[in-house]
Amino acid sequence: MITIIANVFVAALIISLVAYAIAALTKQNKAGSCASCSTKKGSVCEGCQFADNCNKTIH
Amino acid sequence: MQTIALIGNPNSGKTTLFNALTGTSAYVGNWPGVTVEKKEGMVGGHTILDLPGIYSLSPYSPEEKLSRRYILDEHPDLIIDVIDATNLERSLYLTTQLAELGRPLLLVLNMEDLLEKEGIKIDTKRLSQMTGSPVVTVSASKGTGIDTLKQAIGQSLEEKHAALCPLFSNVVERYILHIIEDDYLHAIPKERQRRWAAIKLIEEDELFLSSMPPLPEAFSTYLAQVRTELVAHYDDDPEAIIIDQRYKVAEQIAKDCQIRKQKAKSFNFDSIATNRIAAIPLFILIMGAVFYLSIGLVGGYTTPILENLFGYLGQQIVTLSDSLGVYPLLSGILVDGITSGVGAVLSFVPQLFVLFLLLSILEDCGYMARIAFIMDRMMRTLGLSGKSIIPLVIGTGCSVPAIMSSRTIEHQKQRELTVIVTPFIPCGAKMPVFALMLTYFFPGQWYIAPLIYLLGIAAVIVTGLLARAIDKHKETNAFILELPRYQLPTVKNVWLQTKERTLGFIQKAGTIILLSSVIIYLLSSYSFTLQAVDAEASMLAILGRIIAPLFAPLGFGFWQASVALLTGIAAKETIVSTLSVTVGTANLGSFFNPASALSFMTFILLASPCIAAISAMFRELGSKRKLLYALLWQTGFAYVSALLVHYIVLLCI
Repeated sequence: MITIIANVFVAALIISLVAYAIAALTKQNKAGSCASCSTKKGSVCEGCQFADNCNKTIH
Repeated sequence: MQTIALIGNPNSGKTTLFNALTGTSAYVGNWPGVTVEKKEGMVGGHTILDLPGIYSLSPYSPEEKLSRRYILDEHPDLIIDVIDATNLERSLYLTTQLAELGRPLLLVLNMEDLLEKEGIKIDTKRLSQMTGSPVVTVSASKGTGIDTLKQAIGQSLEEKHAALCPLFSNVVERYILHIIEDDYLHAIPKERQRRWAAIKLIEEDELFLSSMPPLPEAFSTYLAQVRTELVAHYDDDPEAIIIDQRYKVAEQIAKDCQIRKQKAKSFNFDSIATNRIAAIPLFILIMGAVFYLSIGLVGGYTTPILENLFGYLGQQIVTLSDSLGVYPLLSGILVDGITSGVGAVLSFVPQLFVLFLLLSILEDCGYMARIAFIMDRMMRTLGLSGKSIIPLVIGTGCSVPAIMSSRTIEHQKQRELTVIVTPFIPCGAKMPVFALMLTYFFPGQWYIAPLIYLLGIAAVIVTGLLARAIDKHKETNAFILELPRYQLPTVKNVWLQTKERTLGFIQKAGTIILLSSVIIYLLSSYSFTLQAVDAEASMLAILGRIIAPLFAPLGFGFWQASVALLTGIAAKETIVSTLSVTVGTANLGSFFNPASALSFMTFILLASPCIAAISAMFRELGSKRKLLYALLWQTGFAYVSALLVHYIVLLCI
């Protein structure tokens, strides 16, 4: 029983770490892209410093 | 809600003031040209914009055009002219142009804390009378005068007083008045001032003329006659005459409002820092000290401690997993994949923190701009723009924003060449690889690290010379790089930059490096038939062996190095984690020797950059064919250089 729980725990830990890494990478890619910029709440846009047509208002 | 525009000369402290007014932390650098795009914030319920610095409203580069376009077409309710108080006369040149726009103008004399030190006194009341605009003195970096400025902003937005237009000589003024009376001037948009339009017509400003209806023939003939008469009177071209008139106004105002005490002659550090002969040795010495402190001293103590710590953690997990009967695949991923790969990269955090801290201090105190100044002379002889320096300096942090900042270069070929050579400058992501190799193969040899920078610069020079030799239509352009004054680095700026770079590094360890470590572990533990095998018979080894012979002449023809180079395309730090998973950092000595370690570092330094930088290159080059040529050049150049380094070191040992 302990072995099963230990295996499930380690597998869950690895899956959650990998899932976190993929989610963080996806968010980073979006944040760096002008396409993500919008005035909607929760927009991950960090402002496209070098683009001509995309800015974020800093409140 | 009204709109306020912050404008002023480059490096007058606009972004620092923007941060002080809005309570934000936009990137501030002690050199001109940091802001290349407008930033918005809020102050007192109004929108405030930080615009790229400009010297005049007759712009040349894209970011200068952006500032002009905004000021002229978006009609801000208030223009705040940020003036470097220690450079009043030069700054007033732009003020004379802003005053003609008919918008409310507020003059902010920034850097008041430096006035006493520079022996300058400014009569702000007199300045306000002469320009017709309110004047506020502040020190954005010290945070003084900000409340008074906020009050003045509110008052200016309420009163909406237009500034006084500067008056030129009688001859010029007579022509301006005649032109204003012409019916054609009624065609200009009502927000634009006729006097300003008349001056633009005398100057034959192309941007202005392109936004206007065609000139009637009679009026066009009259303008040509005006220009001819002005040229005959002043013996100069019309644009230069107007520039001269503006400078005379600026000179007069500065003379009336400012008292400068003669400063006693003192030692000037720039006599060494920008000296043709002494500058480069001094740069090597300073960078040598930076690397000695960070990689040698701090890294020498902290890296082994952290490596042992992660090693101990791995052992404990293995012991616990074995006792609990955890499946070897799972414990392997956790220990040999994640803990080993991520741990190998994280063990460099303390030394990289110190390295980023020292580089931020050098940047903030103004020394990095001196390096740009020294290199500027060289750049222009290489067919690059003087402005290529800005991407190259930013490239010491990360190639992606560096490649993007090449947009400030007007000429296409110079811009493209800059995009190709920028990744030659060692970025922060390559540092862990160099630190790893330096720690294991060259302990105490502090001069190797600055040589890596010099090698990067040499690659820029060789590529520039070759491109210039091939290019039949050589483009040249003038670029004035203004040297910022030396200043004590501000704790806030240095901390923000260091924190951002270090956190970015740690974040990469938790994302891309973690993922690649898991993948590398799985590929190095299983065969193509999905049987658990020794690393030597794994999928990774088989794939690595396909390309490994290519690197045999460079001294690292084993599959582990080839695989590390391939994973480095995702992110350069991954090279360290891959070597850690496949070789084990403690076993590096069994695979590399000093010659092949140097050759390996050279290849990583000069070969095509990571995928993020490649995609930035594609955006800036705008063509797959050009990108392919650029990558082939970078990788080919890296190969030949690594080969040379390998054999030269072998001959010398």
